[in-house]
Amino acid sequence: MSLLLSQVINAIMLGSTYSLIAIGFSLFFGVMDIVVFSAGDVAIVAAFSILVLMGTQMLPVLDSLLPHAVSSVVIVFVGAMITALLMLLMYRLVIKPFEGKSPLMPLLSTIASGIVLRELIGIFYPQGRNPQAFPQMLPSGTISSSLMISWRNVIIILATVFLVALLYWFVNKTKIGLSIQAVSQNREAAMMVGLNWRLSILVTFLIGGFLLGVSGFLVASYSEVVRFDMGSMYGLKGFSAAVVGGLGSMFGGIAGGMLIAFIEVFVTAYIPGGSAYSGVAGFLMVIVFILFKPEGILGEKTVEKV
Amino acid sequence: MQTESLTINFGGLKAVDEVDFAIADEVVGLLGPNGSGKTTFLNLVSGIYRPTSGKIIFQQEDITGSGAHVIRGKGIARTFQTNRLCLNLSIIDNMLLGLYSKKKSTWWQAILQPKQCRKELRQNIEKCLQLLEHFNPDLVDKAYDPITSIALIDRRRIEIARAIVGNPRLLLLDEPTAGLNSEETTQIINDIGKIRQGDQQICMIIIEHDMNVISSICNRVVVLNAGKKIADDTYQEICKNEQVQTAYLGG
Amino acid sequence: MQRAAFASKNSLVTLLVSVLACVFLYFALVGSLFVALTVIGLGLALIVFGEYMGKAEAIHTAFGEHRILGIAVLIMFVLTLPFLLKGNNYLLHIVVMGGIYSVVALGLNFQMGSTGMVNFATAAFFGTGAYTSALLVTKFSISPWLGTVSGLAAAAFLGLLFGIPALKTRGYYLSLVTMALQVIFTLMIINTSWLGGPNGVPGIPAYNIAGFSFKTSVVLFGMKLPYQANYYYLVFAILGLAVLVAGRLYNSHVGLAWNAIEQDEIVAVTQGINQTKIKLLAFALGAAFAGLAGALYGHYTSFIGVENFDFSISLIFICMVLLGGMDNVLGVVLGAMLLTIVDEKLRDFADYRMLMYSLILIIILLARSQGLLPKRIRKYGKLRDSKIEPNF
Repeated sequence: MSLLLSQVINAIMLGSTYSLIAIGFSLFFGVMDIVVFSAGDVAIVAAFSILVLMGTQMLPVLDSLLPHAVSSVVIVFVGAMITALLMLLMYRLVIKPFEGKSPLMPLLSTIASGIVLRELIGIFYPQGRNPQAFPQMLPSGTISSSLMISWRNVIIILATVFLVALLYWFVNKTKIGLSIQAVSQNREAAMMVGLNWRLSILVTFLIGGFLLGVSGFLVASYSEVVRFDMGSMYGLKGFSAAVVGGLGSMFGGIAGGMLIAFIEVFVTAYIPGGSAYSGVAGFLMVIVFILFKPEGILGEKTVEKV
Repeated sequence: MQTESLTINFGGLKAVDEVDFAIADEVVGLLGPNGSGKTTFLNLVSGIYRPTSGKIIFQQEDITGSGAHVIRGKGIARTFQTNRLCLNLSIIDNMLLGLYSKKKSTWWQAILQPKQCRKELRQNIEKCLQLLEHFNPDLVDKAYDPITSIALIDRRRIEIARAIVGNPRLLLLDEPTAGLNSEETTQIINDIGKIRQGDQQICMIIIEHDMNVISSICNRVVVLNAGKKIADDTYQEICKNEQVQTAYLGG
Repeated sequence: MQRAAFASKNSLVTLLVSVLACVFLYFALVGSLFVALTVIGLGLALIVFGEYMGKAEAIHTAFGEHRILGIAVLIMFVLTLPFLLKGNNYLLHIVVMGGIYSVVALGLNFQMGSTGMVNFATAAFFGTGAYTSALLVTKFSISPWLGTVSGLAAAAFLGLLFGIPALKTRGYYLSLVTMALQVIFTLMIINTSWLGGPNGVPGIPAYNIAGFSFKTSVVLFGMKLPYQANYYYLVFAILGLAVLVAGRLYNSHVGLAWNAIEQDEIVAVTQGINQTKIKLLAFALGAAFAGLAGALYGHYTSFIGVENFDFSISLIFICMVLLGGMDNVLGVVLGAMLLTIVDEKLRDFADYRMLMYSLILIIILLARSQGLLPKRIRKYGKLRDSKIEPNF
């Protein structure tokens, strides 16, 4: 029983990390109708930025001023801000030039820029091509040792819930959030009623980048190591989660992320020799979804216009 | 061709509702206010949509639910409301597409290129050029030009020519004069008239808003409103029909 | 009189351009990385300049009229290249790899260039050919030639299978499916020990004809050529065949149907194109090309490992098609050759290899997304031939 429960908690944790990046994909897809395939690598850049920040004198200085928990949050925040700015840069360099052109082009340019990020880490981070231990910034104690629930689990899940709630509030209750929704639904109409769609897009990339940054921190904390090339698989899983849940839908991203995480965790735990094939099972499910329910779990079914 | 209580649902909305329709060796005008299901009806007949219920019978054969390419092969060709040519391709390539359903060469013959395969291509090209010449002789010299460099009226002509080059038995024209000025409209109407003269056996269904066009070329008019057929008569009778008038004015 | 002068001018143009192209390729091949990049940049500058001056169309017409001459120059170049390289085995190796990759890129072009279906699973097709042939030959000791044919068939079958999603989805969704299939392929190989797992398949035997092994060096016209020369001639014979097949498909109703699907699927089906058949054909034929090349690759290098067939390799194939020019047969081969050459020259900077690749890809997309030799209007020669009666 407790094995099952700990597997469930493990899956929810993994699912949280997938959900955040899936929501990132959905945000970008919403405003631009493009898939930013470098999202996974951007997230991993955040993890490495935090790794670098932890190596500097920043943490001791902050610790002397603030409680330790708060200074950790500040560092994660700074790391996420770095990726938010990086996302803006990517928008300017490899996405904006292809507006209105074949969707193949931003697809390839974002894949390529993801590889550029990944390789830059591999080249410039000391020993960058080897796995790096990720510092445990989350408290390690357990809440209930019999149920094997640790503070780390709870914080990862709570952080995800908090971020999603914050995003939900932002998108639905603030003026700029509503204008992002308007641009997502119909850019021409949004332009005609005088919304600054360019600004909406920039804000979306900023927020999405921040979200990716936090997700990178969480995934690094979950797996306790970071590798320079972790982003490609993480990005692919996140995109899969977004598609399974319904590309463009926020709660769909969560549903998709959880579904993929549960399949992976349970195939690993309960099928003999399953760990090797957990990725295969996850991706097979993605293919099945695309073929038979392409609008995803929570996406809207669209009738194709002839 | 005839349809028997042809119906399609789009999530509760009956875009075409129990339409019985028949056409035999004539030109039928399809009228109706916007959103009355005219284009959807053509999409059903040409096999782009699958009907929810009802039957489509063409030359004594039930073709309900067949794929669009099968229906084209049986001899139903169409044009689109918004001119849909392949913009990247040349005039001649667009025309050759119209003969695709008639081709005899298979894909491996395309690789091995036996004599009859090459001969078929030359014959097809010649046939396309003759038809183009019939519509507008200038187009023959421009056969290698991309569609993007061609004027709208000529694009319309090419689209119609592409539809009839394979000698279909039934031609579906979806607003052939949309976006054209009155002079160009007259030209296109003449062109369509020429098709009937050249091939007595071809029947046509034309969606059109321009009443002059309808009165000049259609033998019969069918009016749709909200997916239902509300009238089926000659043009003169249709004009007097009260139900039609309320559909247009009061709708 | 004037006609004759005009014709001879066109033949001269054809001769000049094809010889120039060969010279450029030769220097890109033998030079250092710097020289290679300079030569490629110069070539690109010439192409752009030619287009700017409006000469591109004229050169194209000239080639159309004197195709035989252009082909003859290319064949002469291909035949004599091993001698020009003085039997240098490393340079020959680069060209052999270029030839193998060209065949794969030609196959991918059916899907990506002609039909507009971006396929990220090409490396899986390439790998299927390689693994099928290698395993059949090493485990059941059948002839490598038979193994190669089996590799081709197995890849074509996998292509049919992978093509099924393309019938139901398009765009990003199709891309994601092919990515997922590619990742599944890699994971399956790594985790299945019978397929060699992470260790790969070593000791794949070479081809042989009547007892003559392709692994032995030969003496031709008084010059001792390394064993790579055998493979060089084999691969280029196959590449020639592949170019012929791809060119004929492009100029036939099949190529036209592919283009129509790429442009507008609804229009394509209402013209009588069987979407299912024509899309599966693009996948199966493309995969067959890749499978054939994969089998050749295995028997040539005698070792295959999963890293030769992973996602990044698929991406490289996409780069090749994009760099050369989508739906342009010669362009695709040129793109594959150039990227293979640059890739090999980058070997000294192995750490920077993928970085350079990605930067090249981004630069092409930004600066010249139509590729080196852009897609052209399909030509059927002189249209009006008075001797031909239309067939009504």
